[in-house]
Amino acid sequence: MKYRRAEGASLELAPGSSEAGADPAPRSEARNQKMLLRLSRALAGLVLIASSWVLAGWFLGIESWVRIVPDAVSIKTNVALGILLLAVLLLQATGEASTPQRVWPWRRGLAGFVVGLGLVTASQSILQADYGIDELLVADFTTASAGHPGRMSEVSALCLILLGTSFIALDRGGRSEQIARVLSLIVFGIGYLGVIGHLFESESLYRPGEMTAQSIQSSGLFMLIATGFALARPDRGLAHRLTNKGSAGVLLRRLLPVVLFAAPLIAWLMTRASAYGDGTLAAYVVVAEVALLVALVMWTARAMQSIAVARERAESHVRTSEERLNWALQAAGGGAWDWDLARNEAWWSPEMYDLWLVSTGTPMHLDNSVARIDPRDRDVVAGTMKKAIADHSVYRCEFRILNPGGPERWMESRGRAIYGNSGRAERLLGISIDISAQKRVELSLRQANEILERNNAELHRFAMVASHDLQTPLRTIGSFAELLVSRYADRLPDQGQQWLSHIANSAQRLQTMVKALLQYARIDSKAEPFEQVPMDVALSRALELLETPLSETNGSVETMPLPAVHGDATQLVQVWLNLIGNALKYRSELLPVVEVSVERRDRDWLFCVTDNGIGIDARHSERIFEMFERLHDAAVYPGTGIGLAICRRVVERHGGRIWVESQLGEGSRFCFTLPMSGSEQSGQGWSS
Amino acid sequence: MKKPNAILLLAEDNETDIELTRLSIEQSGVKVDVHVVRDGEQCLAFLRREGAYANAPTPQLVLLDLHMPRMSGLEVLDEINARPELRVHPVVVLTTSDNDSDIGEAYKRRCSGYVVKPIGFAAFATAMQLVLGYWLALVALPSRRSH
Repeated sequence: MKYRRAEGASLELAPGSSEAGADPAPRSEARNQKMLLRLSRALAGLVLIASSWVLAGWFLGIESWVRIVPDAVSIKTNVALGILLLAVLLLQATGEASTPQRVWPWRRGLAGFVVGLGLVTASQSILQADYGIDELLVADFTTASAGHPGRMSEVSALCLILLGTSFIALDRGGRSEQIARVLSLIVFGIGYLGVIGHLFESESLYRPGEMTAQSIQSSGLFMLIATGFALARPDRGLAHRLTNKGSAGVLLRRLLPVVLFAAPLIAWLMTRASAYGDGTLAAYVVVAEVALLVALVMWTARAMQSIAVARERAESHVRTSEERLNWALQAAGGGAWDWDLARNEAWWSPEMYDLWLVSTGTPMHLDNSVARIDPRDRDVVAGTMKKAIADHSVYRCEFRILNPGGPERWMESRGRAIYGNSGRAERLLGISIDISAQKRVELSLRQANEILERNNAELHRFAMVASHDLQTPLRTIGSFAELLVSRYADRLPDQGQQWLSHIANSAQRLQTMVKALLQYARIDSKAEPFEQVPMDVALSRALELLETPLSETNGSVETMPLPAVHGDATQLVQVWLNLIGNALKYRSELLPVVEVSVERRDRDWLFCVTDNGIGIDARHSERIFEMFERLHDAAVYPGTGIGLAICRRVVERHGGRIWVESQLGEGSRFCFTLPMSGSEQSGQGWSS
Repeated sequence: MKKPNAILLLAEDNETDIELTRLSIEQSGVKVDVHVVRDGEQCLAFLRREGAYANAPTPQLVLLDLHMPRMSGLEVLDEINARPELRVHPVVVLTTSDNDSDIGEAYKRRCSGYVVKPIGFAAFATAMQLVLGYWLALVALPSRRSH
């Protein structure tokens, strides 16, 4: 989007106010400029044809082609030649882009020749000399009187000098171009006066002082070529004002031509009408004139009205969005900024000054903005900003600003660069928000998390080391107790044998517990990376391992197709192993029947293992998942009490939950959930 | 002439484990002279006949514990691999560790076998009987003069 800094920006940004709207009046400047350029080109062509026509008239000796009215002043060959050259220059200048990379090399030569032609002719008049250049091309067959036949008027010579000079200065920029425009305006004035003088037969206007008269053709052609010159560069000077798309431009474009040309024309018509002595005709002219002016004024007024309406609409739109933006910023506790990269000036909203702890109204630029940023974060900010500008992406950065003696102040800035036509970033604008509170929470959360993670890791290391190191002495106790029993049992009294067997049993139990503890600790330390695990496969692996207890108890497992989940295969097998193993172990007098089912829920799978065993008192439904918690005598139901703790640990590691629904004597139902992967949440069907 | 007993080198730092191993060998009935070293360095010195072990005999089998002070069992295996003249000794790792990574690392260093000490004396004795029976009675070993 093109974006201009001027007040016109609001117009351009507002919907419905541009040329896309139904109003005929507001037009873009570019379109107006194109129109003026075309007009200038048309004028150059017209003058080219007219001057060639005159020259042809001279060469062919056709008098009516060189003077319109018999006995009037004829347009001289040298003037026609000069004007022809000027028309060529204008045609060339309008053909180029508004500011050509290189000025046409012939331009200065041709323009210089025109100036020279004017200068030589003028010097003849001033020095009372005759260099014979006046009739160099063709002899003058129109001037019968004495004097200098074929010589152009001094006024024309002056016009040639001025316009030629103007063309030399065109596209030079700066002061010389300004002077060129003034010179061309003077020529326009001379030509205009000449035409008016001829129309109203006021000789003093086209023959000033002692000079010779300028022909009406010369005056007219000079006027046209000067006009063309002024319009040849519609992006600067007076012509630029004509392209203004506001009401001033409308006024200039519509009224100026009327005032300049229609007014004299009407006056001329009036004089002609009264010369015929016909009052009715004069009245008609007056009526037509009034009608024309009224129509023009109304037309202009309408255009100006629609411009005003569009502007008002745009302004109110801008006001509304500004209000919304302000409210939003205030609500968010933020400030807005707009940094002009070329000029290194930044506009800050009042909130920005409060946020950044800068006294309100200080002119801001890069250096004093950066100075407010904590030195530790400056490189990050600069890097992020450069990258966002280079990538045409959103700039987003969190950093600290200096707040000596105060608490740490965190800021988040977000913004976006605006690029010029050349592709270079011109501005960067965005917002800043105070995120100190959020940062404080984040920090304490991170610290807490770190402590937690460290504690967890230490706990696991402790469990691993303890169980490893505990195993060796335990093994020794067990082994020597065994040795004692096997070798010296007959020499010990009964009491001693009993005590020895206590030692052996305890050592064995402790050994199983240490192994269980190790197994539990390994859930985390031996974790494999998650992969797609078909639960069907995991279940059948567990059932293979349970072959012995299944055949011993005559138990059966009923299952259904199971989906695949994202997880650790070994650990998921362990879950099935423990749950189904428990179902077989804690069986009632019935033949054990275990039912495995799955249910699709919103975001996860619900797996259930239902048995017809002895069931669990609801009071214990939490306790059973704790480590080494047992509800039964180890003599009746052997085990370490680690199985369900392992299940819970594994399921929770996978982002799920595990629980039991049971009544004593009515069997149990162990349920656990595992999250679905993203694709499955929306899709259908099992992946296994 | 009576056949001399086989020589067994036991690298083990734990006194009770040494005692248990001796007892289980005794129980197994295999006739063998057991030499004991207490760490990896001593084990290497014994094999190379250095220092106090200048007159050490050449063992037919080395039973190597992994967790020992100064130089661990894995480091001993590394040293043996680095010296071609030491590679002739069969080295069986005998340890309490059933850790997958320990087993893997030991075989990567080309140990001759890896035995996890079974729980319980009877089971241990059976294991020793199998190991010694295999290495000292069944398989052929390089002759003592070949190194």
